[in-house]
Amino acid sequence: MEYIIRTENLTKQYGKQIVADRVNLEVQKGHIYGLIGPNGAGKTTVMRMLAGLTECTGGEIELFGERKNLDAHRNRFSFMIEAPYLDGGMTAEENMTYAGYVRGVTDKKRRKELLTFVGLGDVGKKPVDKFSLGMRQRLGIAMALLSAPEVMILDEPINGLDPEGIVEIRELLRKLCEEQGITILISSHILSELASLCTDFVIINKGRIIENLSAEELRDKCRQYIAIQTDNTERTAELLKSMWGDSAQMSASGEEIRLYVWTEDALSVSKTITENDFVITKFVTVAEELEQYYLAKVGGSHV
Amino acid sequence: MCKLIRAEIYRLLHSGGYMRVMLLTALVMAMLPLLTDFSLLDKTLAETMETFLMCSNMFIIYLPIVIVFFVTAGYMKKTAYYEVMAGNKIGHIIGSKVLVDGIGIGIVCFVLAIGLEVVVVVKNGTGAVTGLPARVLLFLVICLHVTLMTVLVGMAIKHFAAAAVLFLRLQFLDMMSAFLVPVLAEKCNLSTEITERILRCTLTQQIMDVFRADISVELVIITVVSFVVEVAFWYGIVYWTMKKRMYR
Repeated sequence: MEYIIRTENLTKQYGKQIVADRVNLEVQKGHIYGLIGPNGAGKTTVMRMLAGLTECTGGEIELFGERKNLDAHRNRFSFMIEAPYLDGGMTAEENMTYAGYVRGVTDKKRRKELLTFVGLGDVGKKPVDKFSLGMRQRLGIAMALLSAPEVMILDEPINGLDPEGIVEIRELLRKLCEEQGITILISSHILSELASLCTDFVIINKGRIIENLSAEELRDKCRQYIAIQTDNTERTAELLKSMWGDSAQMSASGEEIRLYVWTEDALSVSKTITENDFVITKFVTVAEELEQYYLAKVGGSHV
Repeated sequence: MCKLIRAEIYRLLHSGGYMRVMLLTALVMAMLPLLTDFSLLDKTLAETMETFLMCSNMFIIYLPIVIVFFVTAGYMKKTAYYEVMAGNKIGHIIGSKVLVDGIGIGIVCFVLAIGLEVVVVVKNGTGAVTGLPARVLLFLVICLHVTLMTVLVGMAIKHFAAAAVLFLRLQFLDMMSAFLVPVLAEKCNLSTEITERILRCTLTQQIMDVFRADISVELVIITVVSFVVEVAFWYGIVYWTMKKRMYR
């Protein structure tokens, strides 16, 4: 396996506060990694350390198999951390030109293509100061793509985008990964988007990586449950609890029962309910999604 | 580093009209002697030296404020941040800004500042002024001293507050030295010669010397050494803050 990024016990400490705690991250070539965690979990700090924007207090970073001369390897990366760098007084084209000079890319055609690609081909001489948040994000992504990077590290790139924009960016990132083999490490609070985009997930909380799993592993691990509604849901819940214990739970809205059992047991569950003279109005097998899995892992409700 | 120099020049020419403001300020300051003395163009250089001295003092105090706003605005917009992420070396990032915003603007300002003096010399001659080439070169060193220091102060502080630090450095430090150095010299029993040498290290005194004093080897050495020492001091601070990854 070829690893583009490897960190070994990467630690960042501000005074007594540990923001990243012995983070061991492995990013394989050609994969899309979703970095998930609540606010203050250490996602941005890890990304900033990878980008060379902040020193690590401990541990080591390995980029493309090397631990020395990291600055040279950062040229093969493209970072968009926190807000993208944009000069509000310049136009989109001018910002792209500046970014091109910084990265040593002077191909005017490519700049125009990328602007069109992210839907900013017709903004003309409008200064970036007058752009919406979504337009700024798109421009940031266009700038990140300018140097044809091998790896993209994107911190909240779909923040502020409208639903259409989110889908466009998601498809764009997927296309970049599939067609150009670009490795992507992305953080976002929109977990449903990450779930449909990423091939791997890294869950981070309180500065530590608490789980690292592939999309297949996530699918295997996500618990399935049977959502049940009857003509008397409350009494049915009592019945199911008496038989399956804590596996039977009422939903937050109190409208349905969630029975966490193997789906193979569905037949015996429905039999039990009907034998007790309840009329089943809903009986659906549901798989938990990334969001529920993540919440169960970090034990909170704030994504 | 060439790509960063090109990027910095591009930013200077396209970013929010800073270049226009800088040139306008420089032009107004350069024309100030003419506004102060309408008969300037009919006099020899020797007769106009005091007017040029007064205006040069203002020139090197107010123009740097515009420059420092440009440099710190870049930091506020995260230019250095972006340049680091693009895999550029810290030395190259500092170097490109020093070359473009410091030396480049410094030379432009110098040319504008002496433009009127050149006209006076060509039209009416130098009069009793001696050592003109040396005076011009020393004035160039002083202009570079001010612009380079301005750029490095901006890069070290990375905030508009750098303008205040620079103003204090240019105004109060020199003014305070003029009062404090003689008092301290007296307490420490320093000779008048040493006291004068210490005072000559201040920019205010150096400008006065370029216009008024006889050009001596000592004046040249003190002007050049104080330029090198101060620029090296601020460069060290900027390099250290960037090495420690102190970005905004």
